[in-house]
This record gives sequence, C-alpha cells and structure tokens, in this order.
Amino acid sequence: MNPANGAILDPTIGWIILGSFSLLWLFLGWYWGRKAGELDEYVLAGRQVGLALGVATAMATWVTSNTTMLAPQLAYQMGIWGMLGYSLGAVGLMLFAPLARRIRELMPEGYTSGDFIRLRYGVTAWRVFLAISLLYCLGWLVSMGMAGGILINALTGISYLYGMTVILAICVGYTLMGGFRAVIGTDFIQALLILVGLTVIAFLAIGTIGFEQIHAAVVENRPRLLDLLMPAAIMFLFNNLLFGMGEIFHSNVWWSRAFAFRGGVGFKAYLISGVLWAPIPIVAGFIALAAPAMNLNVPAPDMVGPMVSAEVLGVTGAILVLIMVFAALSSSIDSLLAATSILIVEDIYRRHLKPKAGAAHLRRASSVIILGLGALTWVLCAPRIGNLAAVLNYVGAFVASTIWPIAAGLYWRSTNPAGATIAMIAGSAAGLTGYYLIGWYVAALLGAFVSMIIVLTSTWARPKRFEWQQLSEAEPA
Amino acid sequence: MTASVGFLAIMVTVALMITAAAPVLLLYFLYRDWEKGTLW
Repeated sequence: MNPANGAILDPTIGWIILGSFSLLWLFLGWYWGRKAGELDEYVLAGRQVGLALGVATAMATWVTSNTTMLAPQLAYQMGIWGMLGYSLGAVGLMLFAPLARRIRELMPEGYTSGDFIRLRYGVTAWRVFLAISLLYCLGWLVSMGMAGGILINALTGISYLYGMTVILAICVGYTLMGGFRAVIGTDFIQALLILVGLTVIAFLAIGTIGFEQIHAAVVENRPRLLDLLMPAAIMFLFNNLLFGMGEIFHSNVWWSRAFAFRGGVGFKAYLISGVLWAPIPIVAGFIALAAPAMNLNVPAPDMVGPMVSAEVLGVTGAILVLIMVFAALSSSIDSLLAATSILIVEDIYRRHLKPKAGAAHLRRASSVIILGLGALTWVLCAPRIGNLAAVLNYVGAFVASTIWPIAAGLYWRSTNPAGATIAMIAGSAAGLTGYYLIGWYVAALLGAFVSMIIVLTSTWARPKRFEWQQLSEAEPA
Repeated sequence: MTASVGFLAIMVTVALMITAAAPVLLLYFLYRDWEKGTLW
C-alpha cells in the first residue's frame, strides 16, 4: 500500500500504465478507423465480423469492471452463491445466441433493437422501449465512468476526477476515430488482457496459500460464505440471471453485434462467449475467499480483489489488477458509446427528426452523438453522486420487463403490440415496487414475472398475426 | 450445509482451467479467421 494516500500503487506508476494503454487504444482507433467512411463501416464494422472477434467482443463487453471488482465483493459478502449467482450472467449471453441468429435472418439490414420494436410492435411500444433502453444505456455509461474514477483512485491514488476524465476521454477518442471496428478490435486485446491477468493472479493465490488453507480460514472466520443454503444469496442468483437476460435481450449493445457479425457467426459467437465468460466471476470471486487466510483487514468489500492480488503478487499484482480494470472498463464504455450513439442516431434523430437524412449525414451525426454522449456522461459522473450498484439494480426492473416482449416478438407471430407495451410498463412498475418494498434483489425477478404473465395472456387472449417480411427495411441511401 | 474443500477445489479448478484456455482458443479462432480471410 502507498501510505501517502491509502492506494495500492504509486500514482506515477498509475499514470505510466494509463498513458501507455491510452496511446495504444488511440493508435488502434486511428488505424482501424482509416476506412470507416461509410455508415455501415462506421457503426457496424461492415457487417462481416468473424468468429474470433465476435467471441472476444461479446465476452470483453460483458466483463465490466463489476465482473472483476464486484464478483470478489459478492463472494466476500455472499460466499459461494455470490460467485455462482454472478456467473449465471453468462446464461443471458448463451440464450441470446439463437436470438442473434434470428435477428440476422429477419433483419439483415437492421441497425438497432429500436428498429425491431418499432416494426414489430408499432410506435407506442417503440417509445416505451426507447425510454427504457436509453435510461439503461445512460445508467450503465455513468456507472462505468464513475467506477473508472473510483477504481483508478483506489488503486493508484490518482484523483477521481482525473481518472474518470482520462478513461472517458480515451474511450470517446478511439471510438470516435475508429467506430465499431475500433471497438471490436480493441475488445479482442482487452479480452486477452483480462483473461491472462485473472489466470495469473488465481494460480498464484492457489499456489501460495492452497485450497485447504483458504477453506479452513473461511470456515473459521466467515463460515456463512460456504453455506449452500443462504436464502438471500439464492434469491440474488435468480435475480441476477433475469437481470442479465434483460440487459442482453433488449440492449442495442448486443443487437448491434448481431447485426455486425457475418452470417452464421452470431449463434456460435454468443454461445462460446457465454461458456468462456461463466467461469470468470467464479475465479475472480475465489480470489476474495483467500482474504481470511491472509489475515487481511479489508476496509471496504469492493477492494477485496485488488488487496488479495497485491498481497499475493506485490506491486506486480496491483499493476495486473489496474490493467485488467482499465481493459474491463474500456471494453464496456466503448461498446456503450458506439451502440448508444447509433440508437440515438437511428431511433431519435433519423426516425423522429430527420427522416430524409442520407447515410453520409447519419455517419456524421454518429460522430457528433459519440462526442455528446461522452460529454454528458462526464457531466453526470463529475459530482460523484449515488451508489453505482444501486443505480444498476434500479434499472434491473426496467430491463427485465423487456425480456418477454423481445423473445416473443422474435418467435411468435401472434404476440400483439398492446400486450407488449403493457408488459413493459407494468413489468417495470412491479419491479420498481418490489425494489422499494422488498429489496434490490427482487426487482428484476418481479419485472420479468409480471411482464411474462401479460405477454402470455395477451398473446393467448388476443392473438394478432404478424408478417415477418414487415421487419425488412431498406438501408438509408 | 457447508461446502467442502473438495467441492470448492473442483469448482474453482474447472473455472480456472476454462479461463486459462480461453485466450488460447481466442487466438486459435483469430488464426483460423485470418487464414480464411473472414476476420472482418
């Protein structure tokens, strides 16, 4: 620990690492952005992304700073179920695999998840969906920006404002220059960094302390963490499963990838990325369980991961954690900037304000929106208001209410627009009520449940035939 | 019901093996896409 400010690393080392990786991402953004003049090239990387980049971008984007920092925290607070519950986030990726194939088949020239809702369910459902989706995107962006500032500050002592500004500016910079190709390309490198860093730290923790000592120390000091029947943790497990599904099923972050992957890649990419992602929270969480065996005095649960890493590997461990966190944050922020910008350009700007805008005009608008989103996120992050996890749990109610309208809309002809709209509104309301009356861990559960009941009953009671051809739309000229 | 050391060891070892294999798999996919000209 750096005694001057309580951080694990010296600020100079922090600046050197942040500076080096920032330069690398910016160079790659410029390099890959040289040919991104056309709209499809810029926002969907030319719609021909292969399996390697497809798997890596899905996995890296889903590995947020939460996965590397919150998974250890959850393991430290909820034990084995915390690790397994977080790991169930992978189910969302795997279940999206068939949806990604279906999306590509039904809408080969689509741009956003909003396009689908508008064409499938009409204008009212589309506007409700846009409100949910934009709230979620902004919530996730702000939480990542704030997490960046807080984590960089905790790891290096660099001030919150500087850390947050650097990470946002770098992500905006390379996404702006390189568009979706830069996002996907850097995601591949970031995925490798996260996976290698995590593997090294976990291997060393096991090699240094050993399973038996770790297990014995947890049994002695925090036996609750090994309890396989912890009710709140089991509730968390199902809530997290549905929250993850809601996030992935509705968000344009994942839809834009389904549109960008070459034909036949989407299913395999999402399935494999889910399988490869699932063990990450378990490995990251296990690192936290080593804390009692090390007699570590953990001042805040969210710092347990970096503290164990620093204890096992010294400065090298702390540097590895910083690189992993920087990679995890960048891979999520860049994806959010790219996917949210095209959602705003296509669904707000083009469909509401400039219906006759051509491809070149929309390409320029995308750049402006990326810059604007970066600036808005900075303004919202700067005051450092609120608890990050609370913000994301809050939106869990909203996103979980979209699972059934999306899935049913993609596969069932008879699901009707009114049912889908009411399902999203009532599901969100029920989830929010549960959030306030019971707790954050039931928000997504209730949202998804109420939405499911409404979609199923309305489809059965008032079926309305939909022709799939209506989902095909010409690209902007 | 408390998780045994064996349960913990098996769960974490399997997870760690998959995590360690993932970069190799990604690089293999990259090589294959590169060879076939289907990178992006």
